Amino acid sequence: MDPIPLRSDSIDMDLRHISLALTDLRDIASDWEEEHIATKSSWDYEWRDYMHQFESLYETYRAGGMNEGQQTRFLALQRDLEDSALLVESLGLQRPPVLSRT
Amino acid sequence: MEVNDLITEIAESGREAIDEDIQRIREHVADVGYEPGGMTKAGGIIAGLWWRGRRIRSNERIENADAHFLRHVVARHEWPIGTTFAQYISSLRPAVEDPEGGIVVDRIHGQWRLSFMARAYGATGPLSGGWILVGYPVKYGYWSTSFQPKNGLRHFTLNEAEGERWIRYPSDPIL
Repeated sequence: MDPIPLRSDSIDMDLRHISLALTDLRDIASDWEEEHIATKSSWDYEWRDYMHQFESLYETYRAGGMNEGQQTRFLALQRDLEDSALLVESLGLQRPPVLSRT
Repeated sequence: MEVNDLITEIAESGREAIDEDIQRIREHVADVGYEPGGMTKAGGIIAGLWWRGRRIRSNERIENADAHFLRHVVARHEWPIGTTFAQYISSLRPAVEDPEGGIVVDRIHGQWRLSFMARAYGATGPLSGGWILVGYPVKYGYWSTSFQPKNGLRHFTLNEAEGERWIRYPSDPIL
């Protein structure tokens, strides 16, 4: 079944939220060992969800469903995620998906 | 046997959970809720929102229940627009108790955790995945998370290395 196309405002929201989550994750990483299990558990769930959102964004990008500004932000986010993959994995969170070069 | 010991025994043995086990687990977890006074960092997604008479800052610590409400209801619209904090919290206990719902066990940072997944029914917002997830790290003894994952039941990848498996599959698992 083909994925349901994302609405433009949903694309903007997902791009913004995944980017903010990545910034938060970088901030919290140095104190990760001291973080409470409730926080780590929450991150585990939510980060996995963000990565599913990112995969949907990728499908939308490939299908030509983003405007120019969204494409630019998507590619920047993709680079940021790739640059942070080792950090993310070291925290025990789902590694960002490896997408074919766009 | 205490309920948390029962969960641990089921998780470690790999055995099937019988109906009586599931009933005890649901009742216990439905009762505990979020830890009163349990705090977490607010984070960027809800920074700038007004809450309880003041503006949220990214670096401040706020109550877990408040953080999840602001993140998943106000910012991400997983519940219907206009859902109140009380309505959000009230939608979670039935999700844990729902006999049609599923339960996943997995291990996070060496600790067992249950995830309750139930149909969101009338609580679906514009960005709902159709299912409410409530997370319960067993040793912690309170809820850690409650949201509506984008991919619904496919949120779980059943990572065998972390013992991730359904101990009760949803009765009506339309994905």
